[in-house]
Amino acid sequence: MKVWEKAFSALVLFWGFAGTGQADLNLEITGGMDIGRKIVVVPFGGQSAAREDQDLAGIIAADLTRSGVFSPVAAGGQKASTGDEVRTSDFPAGTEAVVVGRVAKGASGYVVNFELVSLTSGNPLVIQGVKADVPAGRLREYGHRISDQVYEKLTGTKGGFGTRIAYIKRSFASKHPYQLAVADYDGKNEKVLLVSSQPLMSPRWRNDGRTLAYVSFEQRKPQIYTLDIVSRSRKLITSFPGLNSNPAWSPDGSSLAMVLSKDGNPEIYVLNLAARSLKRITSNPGIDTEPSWSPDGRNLYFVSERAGAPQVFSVDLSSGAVSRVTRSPVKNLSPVVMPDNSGIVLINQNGGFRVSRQDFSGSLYSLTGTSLDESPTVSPGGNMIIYNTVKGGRSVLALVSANGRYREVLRNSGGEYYFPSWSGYAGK
Amino acid sequence: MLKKYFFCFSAVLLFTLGLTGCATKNEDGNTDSTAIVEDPSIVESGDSMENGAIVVGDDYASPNDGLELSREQRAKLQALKQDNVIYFAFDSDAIPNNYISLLEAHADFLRTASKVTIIIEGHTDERGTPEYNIALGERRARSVAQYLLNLGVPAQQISIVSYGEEKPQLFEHNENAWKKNRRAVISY
Repeated sequence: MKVWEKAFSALVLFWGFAGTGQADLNLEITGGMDIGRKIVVVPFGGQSAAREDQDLAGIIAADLTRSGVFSPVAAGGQKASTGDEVRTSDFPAGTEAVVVGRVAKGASGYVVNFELVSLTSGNPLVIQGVKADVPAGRLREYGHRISDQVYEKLTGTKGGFGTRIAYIKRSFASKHPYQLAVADYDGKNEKVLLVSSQPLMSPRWRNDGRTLAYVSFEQRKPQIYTLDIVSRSRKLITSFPGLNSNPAWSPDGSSLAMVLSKDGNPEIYVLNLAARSLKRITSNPGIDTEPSWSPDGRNLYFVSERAGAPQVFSVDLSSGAVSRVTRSPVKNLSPVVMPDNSGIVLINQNGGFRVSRQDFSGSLYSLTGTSLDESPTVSPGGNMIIYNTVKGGRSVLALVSANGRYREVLRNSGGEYYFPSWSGYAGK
Repeated sequence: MLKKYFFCFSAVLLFTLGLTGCATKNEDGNTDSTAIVEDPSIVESGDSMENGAIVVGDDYASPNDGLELSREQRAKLQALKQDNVIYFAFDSDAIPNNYISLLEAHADFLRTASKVTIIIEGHTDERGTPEYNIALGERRARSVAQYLLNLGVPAQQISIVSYGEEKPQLFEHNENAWKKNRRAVISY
């Protein structure tokens, strides 16, 4: 954390001298610039014969790593499975906390105990302990729930490891190459919900965690649909002449922002679903696209060509006032507002197209080193970003921690992956 | 069923080429009075399922199947279908000069075969973002439509659709594939 902060104060200082209000600097954080908070997750007792995907310690350590906040350290043969058995001297210097636990067969599945032990005060101190009955088949899900509790206890903010993603999978060898799927946020437990011989685009979660809006070309033109993933019923929402694309749910789930070209060129509209009223938001001869809501639902961020190359703008939905958000001379696309309203995640053309952040305080910096990044989506807690990029000749789903320290490819087999969309906390 | 889509496609063109008047609004967020938004149609019955997933989207039927054409027209149509792709430069919707004779051949045929309709598909390469690219693809399709209109093809024979980067001709992620994917296709 220290080095990271130092890098930042240096940056701020630099701009102070440079005297520009708006930063055009692109800084790539290469990962490993600093290590995160040290934590040890000891393999759970009673799990020696468990299947790999039920390795609770592995699931928890992976979750905490992806946040970019923690750097789990290998347990090194540690056997403790209760808080009583934890000895500070058994763990590497600087270890902040230890997670221990055990799994036993229960009446309808498993009984799982875990304890979170703090080592910061010298003597081990159990700061959290939970015993739970976990139905068979849901051990992995419960592992994410333990991660959430550990993360929240140690950081004071929600982890969001129990959330899900939706995405489009393309598998051109298949009769129906375009597939709409959902999975746990880490890419596991994939469920294909809808398949088509024609393109599918832009699935987006409503805040209820059970409705997706998406675009389908099944009638030889782009149309916006919604799909209830529980009842498996779908509705055709818009079918105007021209583009019907990029649906984006308002934070309260009442409206969809979207892009329609029915009036001559791509413009942003907001459709209130209950009232069926359509409000035109933008009006200019260039392309306006990629609407994204501010967390309070009062502003839309979007991409516009009104100033030449595509740049990010925002519009106040009550006053109509438009302001420019990005100023770097290259293309800036796909804005997503951080849940704490501290800035936006976007695709910035810097060498290639890279997932980047622009803080509202001014600085713009890349989070990846790849060149074909697309469709960034931010976890509800703001700690992780999932996007698609090309690796090894295929489009894969990748994750980067929002602080840029950690990157991982989540799904890279069984097809190519596009349009990831992160659910809210209600996603599971 | 199909007829309804034809109407929509023609409407697309008319709207995009600015041939019909539509009230434009300032960015003051006024409700768009030109928009009539019907209740969403619920499409739940009749969905077929495969391995737990809903299956949609058949291969598209040609709008010209079943048209009465002379033998000569039929032969001409077959030939034009083999030479119907315009490739574009990066980030451009300008039609390169070497496609002018291709477009003239299509226009000559369409002017004489007035019942034949075309759908111009606009495509992009994968660079940039898919949402931006679908807007760029529409621009390419519109550029070809405008060229054919200028050559005297009636607007009601032309419709456009953009697929952005969603239907690549080549699936690889390299310069060679990108060159082939930045294209407009005149589909009969």
